[in-house]
Amino acid sequence: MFTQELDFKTTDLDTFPFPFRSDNYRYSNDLRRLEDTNLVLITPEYELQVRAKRRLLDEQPEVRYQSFPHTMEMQWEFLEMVFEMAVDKYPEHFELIKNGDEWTFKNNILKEEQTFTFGDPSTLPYEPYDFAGRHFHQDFVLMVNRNDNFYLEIGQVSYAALFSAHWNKGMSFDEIHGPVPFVSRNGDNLIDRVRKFLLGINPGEPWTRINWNLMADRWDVNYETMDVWGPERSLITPENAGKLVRLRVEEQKFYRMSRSNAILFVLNTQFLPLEDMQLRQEWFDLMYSVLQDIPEPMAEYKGIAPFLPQSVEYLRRVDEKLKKQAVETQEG
Amino acid sequence: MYNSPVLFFESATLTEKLSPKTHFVKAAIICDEAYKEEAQQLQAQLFDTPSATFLFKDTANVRDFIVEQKMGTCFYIAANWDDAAAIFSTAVEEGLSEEELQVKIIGEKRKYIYCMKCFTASEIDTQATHVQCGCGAHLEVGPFYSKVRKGYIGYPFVPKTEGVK
Ligand code: HEM
Ligand SMILES: [Zn+2]
Repeated sequence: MFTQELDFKTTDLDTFPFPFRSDNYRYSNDLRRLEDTNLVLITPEYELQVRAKRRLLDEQPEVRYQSFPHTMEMQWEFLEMVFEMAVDKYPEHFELIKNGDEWTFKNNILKEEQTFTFGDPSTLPYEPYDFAGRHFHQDFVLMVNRNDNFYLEIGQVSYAALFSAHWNKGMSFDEIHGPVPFVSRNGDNLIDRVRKFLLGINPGEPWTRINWNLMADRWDVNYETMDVWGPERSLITPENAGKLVRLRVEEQKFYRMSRSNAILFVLNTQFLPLEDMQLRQEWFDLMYSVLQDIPEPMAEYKGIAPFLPQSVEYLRRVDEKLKKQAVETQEG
Repeated sequence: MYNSPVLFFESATLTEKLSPKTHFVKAAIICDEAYKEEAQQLQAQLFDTPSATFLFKDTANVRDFIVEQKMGTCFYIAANWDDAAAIFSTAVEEGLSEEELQVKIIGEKRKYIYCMKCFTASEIDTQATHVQCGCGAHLEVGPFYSKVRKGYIGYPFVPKTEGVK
């Protein structure tokens, strides 16, 4: 059984995708044009995250990776795209040597090299999508466009919260979002609007948004382990919330694939404990005010209702201390 | 195809009472012979809409009847769960959409749960809110259904009496 040993946080704050821009948060169609369209990203935690991801894929293959047999061609399209992006952005870390259909991919960070025949899955140790995805720390989900919807046909998911590649396999965009209380500030249902927006995404013009959640002393929450993390949430107190509660952020990217017309959904998951919010006063202030104003259905859905009050109380105490210190410095 | 419609506990096609759907020029009734009054009641409501009726003892020849019908036909099915499920999937295989089908179940409906611990589907009491899976896991019966996994999601939980780990 998989353990929760992995305990890491973002150390380079400049790469942390802080989610809040205003002092309260509601669901919306918050997609923005993506500026750096290359999805490959090497952070100080790259190796740690990739190794954790591979361990999960090996320990729980059924949970973490799912695909339909008819997706092989799309899998090669994905492999080619990410390997080329890697080489393009980090030629010192990655190499791709093409000799007709004989390709060699080198990952110099992990000191790995693989030669294979493009188009022949038997020349790789895993399915092409699974193999390629194991070189990057993100989660990768391929949503295939059929009629006016998107269907999950491949998923390699090790980090995303409440996201089971196993359960969601074959579901439409609408079915996947069934559990989400997906209403906007003025009460509109967002499912149709967002799906229509995705239908309009063009190849070469990816979009991005940020999703967030709070984790109680855990980095992995999924339906498969709900019996474990469900009860643990009540162990959070205002005294331990600073260390144990982490802001968990998914920086999401959406790419239209030019050959298959599918949408590739990429998730970069990062964590920062509440106590680190103080490293950027602006983040601390936004965090404190957003958490005081979470609508009940959203808190219930996100699974944070059992420890939200303790987290807010922790932030209130820190805020009080910081304000007192500021007054003392002025007076002193 | 994995995303083809299937008959499940809350299928859009299920109805308490068969009644004519608008926008269809023809009706085809597929009814268990033992409940032929269902077919008669529907026929009485169809007025001058042309209709064909297939009363069956077993569902073996139902495919031929479905294939014979013309475009623009709405199919009305009255049967027990197992027969209805078989007729439904035959109809879908022959290219019919859920809009073209209406199903009345005679007797009990069936409901299945998908265990998120052992990844198997099993039949449950349709009224149950919490069940125990064969693998030992306690499951809360969730409201979401998967066509690929053929069951409602079963969220694992630890019952209060077993204590909190
Ligand atoms: C097309 C690819 C997408 C996939 C595969 C996907 C998948 C998911 C999944 C699996 C969940 C969790 C559902 C659960 O609780 O069982 C979720 C939640 C959610 N999704 Fe998506 N999603 C996609 C695109 C989007 C887009 C484009 C938006 C918004 C513009 C969006 C907004 C949300 C929101 C607001 C939640 C609730 C998250 C929370 O509050 O923590 N999703 N999505
Ligand atoms: Zn089970």
